[in-house]
Amino acid sequence: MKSFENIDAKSVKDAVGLLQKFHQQKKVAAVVGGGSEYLQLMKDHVVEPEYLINLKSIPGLDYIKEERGGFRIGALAKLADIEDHPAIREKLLILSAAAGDAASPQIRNAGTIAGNLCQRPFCWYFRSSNFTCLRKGGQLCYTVTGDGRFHAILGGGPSYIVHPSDTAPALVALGAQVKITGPAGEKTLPLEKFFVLPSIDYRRENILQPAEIVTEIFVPLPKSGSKGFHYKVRERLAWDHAIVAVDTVVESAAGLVREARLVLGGVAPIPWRAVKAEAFLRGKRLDETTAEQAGEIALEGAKPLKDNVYKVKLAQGLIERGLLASV
Amino acid sequence: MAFTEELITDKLTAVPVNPNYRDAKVPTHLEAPKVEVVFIEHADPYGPFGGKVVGEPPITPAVATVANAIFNATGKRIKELPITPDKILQARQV
Repeated sequence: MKSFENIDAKSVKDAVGLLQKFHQQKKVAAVVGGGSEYLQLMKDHVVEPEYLINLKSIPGLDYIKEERGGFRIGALAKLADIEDHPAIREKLLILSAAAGDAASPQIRNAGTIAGNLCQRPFCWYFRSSNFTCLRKGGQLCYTVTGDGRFHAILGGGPSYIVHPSDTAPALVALGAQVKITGPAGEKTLPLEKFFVLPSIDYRRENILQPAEIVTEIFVPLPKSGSKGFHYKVRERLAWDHAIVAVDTVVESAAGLVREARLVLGGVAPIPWRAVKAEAFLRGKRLDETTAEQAGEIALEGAKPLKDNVYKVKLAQGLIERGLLASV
Repeated sequence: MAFTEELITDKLTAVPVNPNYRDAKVPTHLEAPKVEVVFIEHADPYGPFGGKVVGEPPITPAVATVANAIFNATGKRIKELPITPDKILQARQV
């Protein structure tokens, strides 16, 4: 790892100011929370910052507050705290389950929610110092010629990474909002608008500008009559990324679907909302036929690489399972 | 050997793409099966000085057993180790 200077931020404003200053000086600087992700990128020589701005020194940014309409979660809230929070377990079980499915207990005790959402891809070509891939300034996404067994089947091209966050699909399914603080002040937007497809910009995974920081996540409470479902298929039962994950929130009344949100993880460079399948389900009765049809609609237009054809059926099956569990 | 720890190589460049504990996926406690150790304490006429083996060599028949079980369950013969979920699912697609 290249040597760097650590600076303890005193406040969010201080951190933003430092980021802006270093950006103007054309110095490479980054913020770290738990450090479980960014330090790994440094060890892998994917990034080589000159300055690290430590956010953990900012007091009170790790809150989980229950309000009337939902939960406010501070950027530094640890995944383990979200997983174990009694009120989140009671009211937002899929978020607790998704946080608990991330990485390993050690990483969840250090890793923060904002860090989880801002992870860089875990594509093996991206993480390897032997490959200068498209996302690192090279010419080629190596999955096209190489091994793409865990890569994208939807929304890929020119890069075929999958978004690594376990909490993002659950949060998007719950309709969460993200608060971003930057030099111009604060802004809040739906979390699904936070992520960027490679067809728009293949060098980044989210919309954060150089001096912007994620400071809060707001998760609204699901409407009454809603049922959630979270499932992550993986090769290893701990410390593994999703092969395919599905998060669904289905609001029903009198046996009919009023509103459904279906979000897939592990299949696309962003948490993938199956908007067409959601529209199809509106007003329908959930049974084996409609659940199967929704799965097929959700995967319409999937373009698997040669090694990940299997993900299509897997994702369809998971959507079906999620919907049938929501009856 | 049957399920985990695959060394994956980029075919074009021959560079291993998973040379780390994260991507090579060594089993954790959650994957480790219960193991019962039974010693066979009779001299083996074919072994050197009547000896058999302990440790790694006895794992070989277990791998064949697993491969046969997967064939029996899915009808697909997978001829590459380890047999990971993506390979079974991929074999069932094509």
